[in-house]
Amino acid sequence: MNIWMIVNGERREVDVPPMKRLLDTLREDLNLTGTKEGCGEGECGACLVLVNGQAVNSCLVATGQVQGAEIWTVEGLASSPEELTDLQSAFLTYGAVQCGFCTPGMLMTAHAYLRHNPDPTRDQIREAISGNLCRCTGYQKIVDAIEAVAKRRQTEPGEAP
Amino acid sequence: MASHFHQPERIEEALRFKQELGEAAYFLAGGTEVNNSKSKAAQAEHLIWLGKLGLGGIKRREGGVSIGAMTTLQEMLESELLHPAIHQAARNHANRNIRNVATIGGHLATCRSCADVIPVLLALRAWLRVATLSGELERDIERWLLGERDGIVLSVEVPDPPADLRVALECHTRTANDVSLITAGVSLRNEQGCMRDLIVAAGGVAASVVRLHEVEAALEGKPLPSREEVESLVAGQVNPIADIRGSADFKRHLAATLVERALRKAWNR
Ligand SMILES: Cc1cc2nc3c(=O)[nH]c(=O)nc-3n(C[C@@H](O)[C@@H](O)[C@H](O)COP(=O)(O)OP(=O)(O)OC[C@H]3O[C@@H](n4cnc5c(N)ncnc54)[C@H](O)[C@@H]3O)c2cc1C
Ligand code: FES
Ligand code: FES
Repeated sequence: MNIWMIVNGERREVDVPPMKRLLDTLREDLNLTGTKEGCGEGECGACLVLVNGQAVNSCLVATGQVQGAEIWTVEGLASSPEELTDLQSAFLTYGAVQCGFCTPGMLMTAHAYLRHNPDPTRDQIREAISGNLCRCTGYQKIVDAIEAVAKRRQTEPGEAP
Repeated sequence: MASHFHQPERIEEALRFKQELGEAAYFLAGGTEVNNSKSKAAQAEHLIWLGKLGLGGIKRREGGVSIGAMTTLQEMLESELLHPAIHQAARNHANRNIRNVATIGGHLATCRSCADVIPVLLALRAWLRVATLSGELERDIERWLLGERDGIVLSVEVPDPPADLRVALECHTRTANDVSLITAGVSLRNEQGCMRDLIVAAGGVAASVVRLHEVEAALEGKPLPSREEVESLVAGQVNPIADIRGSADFKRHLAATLVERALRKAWNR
């Protein structure tokens, strides 16, 4: 089936079985391998992408379901490897990345959540990332990074990415 | 993997596909069950996508609120039109990433034993609008749970509760993300020191969420008895199965504890 979608701001067309997981279409057909597969059953959030602004696990979405949708993956965050978003930089500064496998999903979840709630408490941040598992960091540093970005955006309001 | 992906734009068309294809076809809503590679539906040859039928959205209507079947659990959690107890139940469902996709129609049709949002719908006396080939009908959620599950859920209709209705929910999960092991949802009115219009629902104790009619009948019209009395009444009325998530005894103990807590919470509210 021919399916088109707007991926990271560009119109892309793929010819895939409609039930192919969005995760596989992104990785195999669009070569966007930043999105990871952890569990393949909705438990870990490693495959998280934005579909029409909502954080969703791409392992649980059929490509046919996103015909015409706007998709953002981790590749769409930074405009170039030198120009990371404030959230990506904070993950580096605060040591919120160890093995890095959860990081793309974690970034996308945090990115979507801060748009929804620009000034969250630590508890709200924890709740927001509760569908994203990290086996390395113990979460504290991830929460620190997200909190720091939210605080900075409050004091230095600019164009939020 | 399904080789046919149908995208009907009319309810009749969707029903007709299902009638013609029978067991080989599944409806697809959010897909958290259907697209899960472990599910039986993932092996189906045909999928009938319900996303083009206009079944989304939460609307106020005369005497209540109507929740379209394609409404996600996150939308329910954020809707100011819905009762706070519905927010609480939706919040217990998995996490935001899953709630952004999982729909209330899919939740009802999956009909898990411990489904997180069904007890509160029973407690609030909600009912379903269902489309079948012989027409649209109103279906009692309890009958739906007991197996009358033909057709497509169009919406969940939640009547405005009486001003003095008290609702309380309890659940036990292993982790915040895990589906609940046992859930309890109750509603009642306190009429001159006696419980009236009691509804007691529990999840995780039978094949689907159930109402505990014997418990309701035993308590209706009385003040709330002691904790021990209520717990032993409930324990005598549930028959959970033992599985990887807990022994039958443990689940019975939990169900008794949680139903009692919910009743007391509602009673003292
Ligand atoms: C990681 C994960 C965590 C979960 N956690 C929880 C939890 O904490 N609590 C809980 O209760 N559940 C949980 N679930 C179960 C969850 O999938 C369902 O509760 C969810 O609401 C199903 O909705 P859906 O839209 O994704 O359904 P789908 O997968 O699209 O469909 C499920 C079933 O319903 C049928 N169906 C869908 N819509 C309709 C309709 N309108 N009319 C008739 N039939 C229909 C489909 O044919 C299919 O058989 C979890 C699932 C996953 C994968
Ligand atoms: S790979 Fe999708 S949630 Fe784990
Ligand atoms: S950094 Fe390794 S899983 Fe999170």
